[in-house]
Amino acid sequence: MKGLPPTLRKKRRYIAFKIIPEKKTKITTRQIYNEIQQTIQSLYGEWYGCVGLKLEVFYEENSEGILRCSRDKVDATLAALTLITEVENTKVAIKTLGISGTIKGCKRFLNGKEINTER
Amino acid sequence: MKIVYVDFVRFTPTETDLFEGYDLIVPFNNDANSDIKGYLVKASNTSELQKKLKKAKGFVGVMSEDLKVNREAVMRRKVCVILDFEGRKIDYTTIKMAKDKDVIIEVSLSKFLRVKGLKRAKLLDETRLLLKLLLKFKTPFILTTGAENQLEVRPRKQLYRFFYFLSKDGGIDCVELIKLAKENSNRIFRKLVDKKYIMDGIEILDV
Repeated sequence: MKGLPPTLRKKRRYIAFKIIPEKKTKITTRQIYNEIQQTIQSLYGEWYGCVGLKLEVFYEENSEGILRCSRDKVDATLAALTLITEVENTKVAIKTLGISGTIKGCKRFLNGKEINTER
Repeated sequence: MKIVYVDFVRFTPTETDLFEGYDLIVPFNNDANSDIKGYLVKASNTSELQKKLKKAKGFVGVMSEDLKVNREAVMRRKVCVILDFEGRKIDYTTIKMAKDKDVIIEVSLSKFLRVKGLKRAKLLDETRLLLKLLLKFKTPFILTTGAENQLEVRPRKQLYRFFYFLSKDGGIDCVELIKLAKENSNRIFRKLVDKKYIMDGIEILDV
């Protein structure tokens, strides 16, 4: 079956974020993904809770990552990220670094993680 | 004119990249050792408020759970701002009076961080109503983090985006809200920092 043309595909946005923990504890990809998903579920419920969430990349060593969501739910996702205060009993603050339409564009916001354009 | 951003916090701030985007941080913690610009008054009844206000000086902020105290505080000349927290009670009359007396109403983000579930849902609803009234009466207000510790601080862009979404979701004119919040932030900055500024429209010019 032929895929959808680009105009009909679901538009996505990529959010670069950084986690600032209270203590120097390592936060895993699974932990942060669960926390974001739970916060969105508790904030918007089942009716509005589907924001097309996917954790594209997460660098555990410097606690930075890229989150994917649908374009019309960017504000809702950002609000949920702002309200996160705890990940697995570790107090944290999440700082959003930037929003982009592509992963490549989003990687510009992450420290020292410039995308390799050579193929 | 360049817009400057002010934030109110309840602790002595140290350098962190979470404070990104703010030009002035006003700590309300009555710490004698720090170079404070904010003076915090916590009161549970009106007589306590009056007593504490006698000693108060500078940029005075009142924090109270009692509606009567907040209404009394708005009428006092020394009070500059009614500080926000999860238990604050404020009503239609107080907001209307705050406009006449030019008292700033703080709307903070940190109250949403300290509660969860149904309490947060109620707070979000109350805040939407408050923002609607603030816009209706054109009462001076400021959007702040209101953080009690370093981890409750959020960068300026994140803070404004949150309130933009909150007001948009509640059917409030979000563009007007952010515009007014920025204007008020500018006014507070000038009031605290600019020595030539007396009040709106009155300032000392160079001779």
